[in-house]
Amino acid sequence: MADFNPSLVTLCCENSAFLVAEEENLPGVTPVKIPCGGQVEHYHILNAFDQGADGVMVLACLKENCKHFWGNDRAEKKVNYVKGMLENIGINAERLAYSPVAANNEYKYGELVKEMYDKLKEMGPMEGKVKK
Amino acid sequence: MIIGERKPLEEVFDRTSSFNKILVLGCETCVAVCLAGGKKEAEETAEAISLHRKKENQPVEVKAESVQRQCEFEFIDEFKDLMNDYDVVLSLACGVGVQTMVDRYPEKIVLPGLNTTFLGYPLEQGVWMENCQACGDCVLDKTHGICPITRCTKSMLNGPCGGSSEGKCEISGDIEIECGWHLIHERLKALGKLDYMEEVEPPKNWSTSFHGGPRKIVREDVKIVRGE
Ligand code: SF4
Ligand code: SF4
Repeated sequence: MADFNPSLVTLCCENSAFLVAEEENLPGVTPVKIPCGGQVEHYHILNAFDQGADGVMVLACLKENCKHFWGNDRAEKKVNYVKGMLENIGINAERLAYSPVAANNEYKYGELVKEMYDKLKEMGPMEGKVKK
Repeated sequence: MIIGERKPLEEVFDRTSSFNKILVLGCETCVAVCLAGGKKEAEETAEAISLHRKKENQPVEVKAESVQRQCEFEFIDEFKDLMNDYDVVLSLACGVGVQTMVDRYPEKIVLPGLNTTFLGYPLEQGVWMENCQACGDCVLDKTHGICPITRCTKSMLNGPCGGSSEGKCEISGDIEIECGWHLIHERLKALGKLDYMEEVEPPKNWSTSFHGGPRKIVREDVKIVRGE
């Protein structure tokens, strides 16, 4: 899908990933600041897809490094739950990913996002989405 | 509290497939606390329906709302106007909430979006267990707080049955079920009241339970008679 430019939403914890994301400004990527990975609700993720995202990433702090103790673990569990919902809906669950990233690791953020972006490019537009 | 689980999404999609304006209505009491049918769950269910319909190329107008208690007229009355804007209500309340809605809005179609599962409590975050079957004639005083009707698989009043092994009920298969009477025995032992194990309980009065049709409580002292 060489001519397809996906739209990727990254839901980023303000204590880690967002500090990097706001500096990066990658084309096709919309970072959204969240107070903590644990604050992500299932409907936030689904809503991003509903509003036109081809992929969503939830990015929170490294394991055992969450300011609010387990927010990152909870975020990962919620992502897994929503992956199940996406399968029920008939959407490829690979369109959603969870990744931990440190506040001072720009390289890692860029790498993770690029990897996801390339994967989405390969997958094509979201199921049911009319290609513009 | 009342514990429930959202119906599988496939079932939700199937039941709502013929409607184009759907109101998903959660309830902020029991089913919100058990993370099955509150505002958040109403929102995620509405999003899921919307995404599914987009994928099927059958767009839908879907709105998520929730009410403090869907099982009381006073609370659901506030939805009167909103109800008129939608073809169907997908209720994420327990079965009581669904039926209260139908009673109040008989001209509307109200579908259950949740399976009402049991009366119980959270053992820990994410784990709920049944512990009362609302038999209408509570015997928890005798068993010191462990319900033989619910916790004993055979609802025996004079247990254990003889099949209990290492604290587990004899019907345990892949899922281990604690023997209710083992729990009662341990509780009585801790309280120094093991004598009760020797007592023979007469047959229970089951007429208070649910086998004789829907039960009703009438309290003349609290009924409001207009003009009084
Ligand atoms: S004895 Fe009856 S009312 Fe009491 S806890 Fe058991 S089922 Fe509920
Ligand atoms: S093993 Fe225990 S819980 Fe199971 S039926 Fe017998 S007495 Fe009841």
